[in-house]
Amino acid sequence: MSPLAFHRKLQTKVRLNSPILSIVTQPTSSGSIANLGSTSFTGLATFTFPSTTGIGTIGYEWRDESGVIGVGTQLTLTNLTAVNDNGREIFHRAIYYPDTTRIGIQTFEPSASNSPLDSNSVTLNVRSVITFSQQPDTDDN
Amino acid sequence: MTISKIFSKGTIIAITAKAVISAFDANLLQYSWRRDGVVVTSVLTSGTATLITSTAGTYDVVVSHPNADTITSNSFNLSYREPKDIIRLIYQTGGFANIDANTGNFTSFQVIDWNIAEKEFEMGTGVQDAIDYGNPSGGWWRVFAKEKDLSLDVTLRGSCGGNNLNSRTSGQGGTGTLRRTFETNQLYTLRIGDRRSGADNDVQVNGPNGGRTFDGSGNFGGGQTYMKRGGTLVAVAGGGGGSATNADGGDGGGFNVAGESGQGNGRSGGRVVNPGTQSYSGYPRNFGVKGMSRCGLDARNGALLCTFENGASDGQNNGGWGDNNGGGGGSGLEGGHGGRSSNEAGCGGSGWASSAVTILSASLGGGGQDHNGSVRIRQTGFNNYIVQWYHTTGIRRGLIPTFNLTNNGNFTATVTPQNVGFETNQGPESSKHYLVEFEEPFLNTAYNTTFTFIGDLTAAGALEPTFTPIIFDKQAGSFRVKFADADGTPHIRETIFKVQPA
Repeated sequence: MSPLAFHRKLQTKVRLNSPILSIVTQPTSSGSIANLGSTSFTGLATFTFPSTTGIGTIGYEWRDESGVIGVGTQLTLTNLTAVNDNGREIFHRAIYYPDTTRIGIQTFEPSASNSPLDSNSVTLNVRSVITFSQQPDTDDN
Repeated sequence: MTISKIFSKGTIIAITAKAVISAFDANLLQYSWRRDGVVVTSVLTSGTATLITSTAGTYDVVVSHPNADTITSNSFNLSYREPKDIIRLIYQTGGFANIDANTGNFTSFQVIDWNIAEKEFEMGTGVQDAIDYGNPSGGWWRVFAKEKDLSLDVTLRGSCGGNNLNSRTSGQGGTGTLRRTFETNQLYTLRIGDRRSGADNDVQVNGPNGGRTFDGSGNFGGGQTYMKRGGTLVAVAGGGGGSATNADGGDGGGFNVAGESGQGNGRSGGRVVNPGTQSYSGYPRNFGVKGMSRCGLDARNGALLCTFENGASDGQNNGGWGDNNGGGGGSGLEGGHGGRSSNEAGCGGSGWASSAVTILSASLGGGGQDHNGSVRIRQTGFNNYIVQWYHTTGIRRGLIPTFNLTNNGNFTATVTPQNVGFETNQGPESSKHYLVEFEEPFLNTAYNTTFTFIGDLTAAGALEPTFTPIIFDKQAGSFRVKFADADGTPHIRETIFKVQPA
């Protein structure tokens, strides 16, 4: 069997004119956060087709090192503490989903070549809390 | 919550506080101490922050950290008062095992803070002593002036010899009263003699003991009572000798007073010698006696150490042993010899005082029969009398004869008018005068008396411009006084007089 005969049997996806994801709004650091305080982030992405038009949607995930912590373009975190949250890195992930509802076309709707696309990471800066274990006093003797 | 504390003026205190941070480097915790809202000092520490101060005010501390919100502590109100006449008394509890062999510190003890201006303090070694004095019994005390220097008159009484074995009389402990300014925070040690008689009054309170007996039915000698400043001996009152079955024990000596020989005992009581530099340990057996050292024996290396009182082996149990129904000698600066037969009683131990104290009185014996050793601490001048009288005798002027007396001093005196009206020959002379008798005699007649006259009337109601008090028949426990005016020595209407020890 010639090499060409071998390749004729291999299924190959060919993406033609696939869309490209790009970040429109990067999440930004909210600065120093008080103990038990809260903060919100916003992220947004878009997609473009290089030479034609297409139909698709973008899904969003908010992630940290543990995995998905939220969805959508907005994320609000509450009850933050230095012990648990300081230094925690969070980023926004955009995922392109081709439109699969149009019969006969879906086969030809390409996915985005750079999906999923992650935003820059932001690091939480949560202030610690100081408490007195011993209030001012003297030895009575 | 605000804490408020009051200290004696001049006391340097340490205010401490500590904060913790839930995350980040605790070494970056900064404490800013404030007094009345103004920062006085700042420190970085992960440990306890301490502020040393002797200034009154309202203190707090602000704690900050680069990665945390700043917090402010509760307030601590510091104020000062005038120093009080407080002596701190620490008495050891338990056995010798509760004394640290390396430092001499008590590891088991109780503390009493006593206002010596309000009441004297008296303590002994036995159960009965505790009942009599109302204070804990103990043979090993440490004392210091807590807030200011205090001039104290301290009476030491050696222990009587034992009394529970036969009907003969053991010697009494010697007594003496010294005066010494106790410096603030300078530690003094008081060891109070015990009899180790085995009776109820012997509670094993670590008091010095007298000489014991090898064999027979003689009584033990009495333990000495002594005082040290730091580790240096300053005064000793000797213990009495124990009685033999057929002879009475000799008395112990007060300050610089030799012990008395026991009845029938040809050997001497303890002598007044300069305390040696040699330290002894253990009991002096084989009929010998030993001298007491100036200092204690350092348990760590056997050297003499004059900085603290250190243990049971400090030469305090130095009375000679008795044998064959003889009595044991009393302990003292030098122990008294023991008796060697039923006709030889124990001799008393000697007393001594260094030049570091003023001797107010000293006597052979005087510690009381059947009494353990004891100590009385009294502020100088505490035994004072402040007496006011109102006297009327003017029958011819229509006055009802009265004599009203009010005592406002620490002790009570009685006053008896002498040769009133038709009475004569009361007292050593026939003049009109007053007999003043003290509740407690002074140590001698060197006490001071001052009179303040209220008005210028005689007791009969006559007006006289001046009275001159004339004291006569002055005794340690009493005196008589008459009042000279322009034409005689009348009784007088009203006066206040004060009597204080010199």
